[in-house]
Amino acid sequence: MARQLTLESVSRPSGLDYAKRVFLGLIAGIIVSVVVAAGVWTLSAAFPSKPEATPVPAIVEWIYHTNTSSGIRESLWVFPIIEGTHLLGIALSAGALCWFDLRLLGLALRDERISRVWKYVMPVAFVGFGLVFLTGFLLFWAEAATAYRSPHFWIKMGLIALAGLNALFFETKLHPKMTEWDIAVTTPLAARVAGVVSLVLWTAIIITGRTMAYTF
Amino acid sequence: MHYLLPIFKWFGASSIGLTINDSRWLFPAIEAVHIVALALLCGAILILNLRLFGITLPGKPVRQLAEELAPWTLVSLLIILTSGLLLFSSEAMKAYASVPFQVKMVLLFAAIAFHYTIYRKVIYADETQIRPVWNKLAAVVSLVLWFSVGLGGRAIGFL
Repeated sequence: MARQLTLESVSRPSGLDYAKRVFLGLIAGIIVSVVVAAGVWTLSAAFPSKPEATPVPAIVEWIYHTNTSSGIRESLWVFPIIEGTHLLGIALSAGALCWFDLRLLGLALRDERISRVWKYVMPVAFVGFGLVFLTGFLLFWAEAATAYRSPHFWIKMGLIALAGLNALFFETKLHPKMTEWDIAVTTPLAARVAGVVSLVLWTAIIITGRTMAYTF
Repeated sequence: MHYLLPIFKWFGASSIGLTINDSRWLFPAIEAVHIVALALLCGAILILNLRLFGITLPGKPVRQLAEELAPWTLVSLLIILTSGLLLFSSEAMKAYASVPFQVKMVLLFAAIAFHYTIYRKVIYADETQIRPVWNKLAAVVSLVLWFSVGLGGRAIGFL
């Protein structure tokens, strides 16, 4: 059952305390980013990119030779515009999602109901995810053969699949019971784990996307 | 611009710039940190601006939300500026010649100046006193400025 807490009784952190927590959180974030980047780098070194001549499956070959693919790849403006939109989508999706994750962890927006953060923050994230998936698909279409040969691409797809599983776990196991801990600052352990996993995975996905570009 | 050339040259010749330039993985690694912090900053700016529009978290006082987001904004901005300076050091001369870079820097200083002056005044204003149109206007200017900075950064790599 929900604890008998009113929103007002949740103590608002004092300025310095809060700043300290944010600072420590971000330091932890940077360390995680660096560790994840090192992990991605080691993984990709273990599976080096396949050479140019490596045959790719017929479907990848077909995609790579469609007019849309070479059109995007060789254009002066279309590729940068799609990639710019991809970046915008990242800011919208990960940028909004992280506030929900941070609320689950009790690190930010502590005096807001979790259901309210979900209701108002997640639609923004979903718009962002729509943008990244659409533009990401177009970018893949344009560079299908290169992506197929790059270990970074497969690591990134694996990480996205894991993030999807984490979201599915949250949706099926935790979301239905969300009202029980709606106003809690310290949410159930499973919810906090889901929050950390989401933050780490999306950080890793952004990093892998960036490292992938350097191997192309 | 030419009177700024010595500064660009100094950064370009600095040992930090050269080290990053010589390394295969340092540039991508710093850029990754730059972009992760960018997502966080844009997220914080976005949530606050959507609140100014009355779209996200209606009912939560703007001032309270702003106070809560301020440290996240500041620290992620500092991470972005530091990592950005490192990236810049490694290709200072390329940046000197790059129009998108110049545009981005002007937009960046404009965005920071706007954020900590006019914008600050609007978000900390008494909500019962301020006309909603100022909230919305400030939000639009802020969004346009920050997103142009991001897109300007992307353009450096292409033009």
